[in-house]
This record gives sequence, structure tokens and C-alpha cells, in this order.
Amino acid sequence: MDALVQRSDEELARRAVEGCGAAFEELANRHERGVYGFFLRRTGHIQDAEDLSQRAFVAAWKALGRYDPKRPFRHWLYAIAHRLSIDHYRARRREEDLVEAVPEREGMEAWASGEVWDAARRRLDGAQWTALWLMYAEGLSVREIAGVLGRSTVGVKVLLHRARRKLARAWAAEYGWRLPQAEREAVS
Amino acid sequence: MICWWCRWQISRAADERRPLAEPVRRHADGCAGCAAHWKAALVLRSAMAPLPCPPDLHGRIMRAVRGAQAVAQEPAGWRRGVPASLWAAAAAALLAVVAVGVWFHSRWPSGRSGAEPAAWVSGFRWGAVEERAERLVRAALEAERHGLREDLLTTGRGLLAALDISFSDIRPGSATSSNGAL
Repeated sequence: MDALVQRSDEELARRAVEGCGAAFEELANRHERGVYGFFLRRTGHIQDAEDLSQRAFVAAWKALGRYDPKRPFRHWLYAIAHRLSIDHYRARRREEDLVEAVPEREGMEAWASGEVWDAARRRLDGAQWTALWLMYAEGLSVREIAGVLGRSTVGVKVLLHRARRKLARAWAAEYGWRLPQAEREAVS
Repeated sequence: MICWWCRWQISRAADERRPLAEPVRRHADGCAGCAAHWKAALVLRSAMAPLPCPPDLHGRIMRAVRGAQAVAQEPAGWRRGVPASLWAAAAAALLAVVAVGVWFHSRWPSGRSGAEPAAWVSGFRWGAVEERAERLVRAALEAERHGLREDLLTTGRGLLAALDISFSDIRPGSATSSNGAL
């Protein structure tokens, strides 16, 4: 197991394809928190996030035979997670379960973390939200996000720009934003 | 500076995680819309508090994966064998039905007539049934005809008696009665 910890994701995925269960377990150990966070912010429900996380890893395990080791495993995993989140929202629409989920905030700072992503989820479409999440939460570059979402880099830049524009308009109207000079100086 | 261009530059700076260019910053200082766009990018960047993770998430994920593994590794026994055998049985039944249909079709000549069913339904005397039916119908018709004739004769005799004439007085071509009236 110690040797597995030192392996790259792609090497572990190769081993998992060959039938090494411990390799896949190590992969799950590395990425489950990120995938769970993605689903928690995406759905706003702890239970949904847990279910979707399980389904994402089961889907990844089933699809390992089609995984290309030249591609980063994390990007491939998030592509699966993104598709699952889309399916999840389609199913919810079919069930006419369009009631806004109440954000679950235990252990989160209200505005600084949870509320931002919950508000973004309510205002953005799936691809815009996922692109923002991958950029800020996972630290992926535009090129990497393009790989996950199956879009061009220009397409992702436009996606991110429109997402920020939509949020800026909504938040400015909602909170009457005034950006103090000191805050801009501090952050940039 | 044009606002849409300024906002695009703000987005590009946010994507590349670099500070704003000085002309963009100056414009944003005096433009509420561009300032809001900038702040949205800053808020998103700062809103990354660590998320609480359920305590047994790893265990649940691995149980789900092992469950999927177990299902996939099941031998081709009852789960996979039964559907295959069911398919084979269904195909055999379908073939049998088609074969019987073709056989009946070939035994049933085109241009059906009344006597033909007796030719292909072996052991069934269609001709005898037909003869018996014909006899019954003829007998019924004959009885009806006889009864009708009797009824007509009885009625005729009654009428003639009422008119005080007999059958013998009636001659073909006779237009007058005994009292000279029609």
C-alpha cells in the first residue's frame, strides 16, 4: 500500500485496469473528497452528494477499460462527475422536483463559502457552474477544463466569462455591491 | 475604455490568475458594472472554504464499488445462463409456430370452396354433414310449403262459401259471377 501512495494517478489507474483493487482504492482515497465537494456544491444536498459520489466511482471503475492513461485521471473522473450531475438534474426535472434545495451549511461560513456556490448553482447552468468549480475549487486551467467538458479553450473562456457576468449582475442587484478601493488592492 | 472589453479582460485575468492591467483597473474604479464583475471573480476565488466530508464516505464508496465488482464477476450461471436459455427457448418456439403456419398454409389450397375443408381436415366427413344439412333444410321447406298450401285452400274455401260459390264455378277467363256482379 505504501508503494501505491507514491504512484501517480495514471499509474494507479493502469494497475486498477489490470485488476488491482488496492490501486483503485487509493485513487478513491485521493479524489473522493474533491468529487464529494463538487456534488455537494452542485446539488446542495448532502445525501445526493454522497449517492452521486458513490455512483461516480462505480462508473469510473466500470469504465476503467476505456480510460486513456495519457489523459490525467482527475480530469477523466470529473468528466464522469459532470455527466452524472447533468443526469441528476435531468431526472429531477422529470420528477418536477424543481423546489430549490435549502442550502445545508453546517460547518461552512455563510457568505464566504457555501452561499456563494449555492447562489451560483441557482443562477448558472450546469456547464457554467462546473467550469467555475473546476477553475476555483480544483485549480484546473482553462485548457484542462476544456478537456473535462469536451469543449474548446475559447468556448471555456466564454463560458467562464458569461458565468461571472451573470453572477456579477445578480449579486450587484441583490447586494448593491460597492467595491472599496482597499478590497481591490488587497485581493489583486 | 469600453465596458464589455474591460469585463472580458477582467475574466481573462481571473482565468490566468494574474492581477489586472492598470488601464482595466482604472476603468473599474469608476464603473460600477465592471467593478461588480471584478468582485464576482474575487468572491468566487475566496469562497473556497474546506468542505466537511461525511465520516464513512470512503467506506461507502468502496462498498458500492465492490458490489459492482461482485456483480460483474458473477459466473455465467443463473444470471447470464437463464436469459440465454430463455432466448433459445423463445427462438425455438417461434420457429415451431412459423413451421406449423407454413405447413397449414401449404395444405390449404387457394380458391376455397365448400368441400375443401374436408380434404385437409383428415378424419372429418365434411360431405356427410353437408348432405344432412341439406336434407334438413329441404324437409323444413317442404313442410312449410305443404302447410302454406293447406292454409291457402282453407282460406279460399271459406271465402267461396261466404260468397256462395264453389270451386267448380270458377273457370279461367270467367269475368262474371253467378249474380252478374264482378
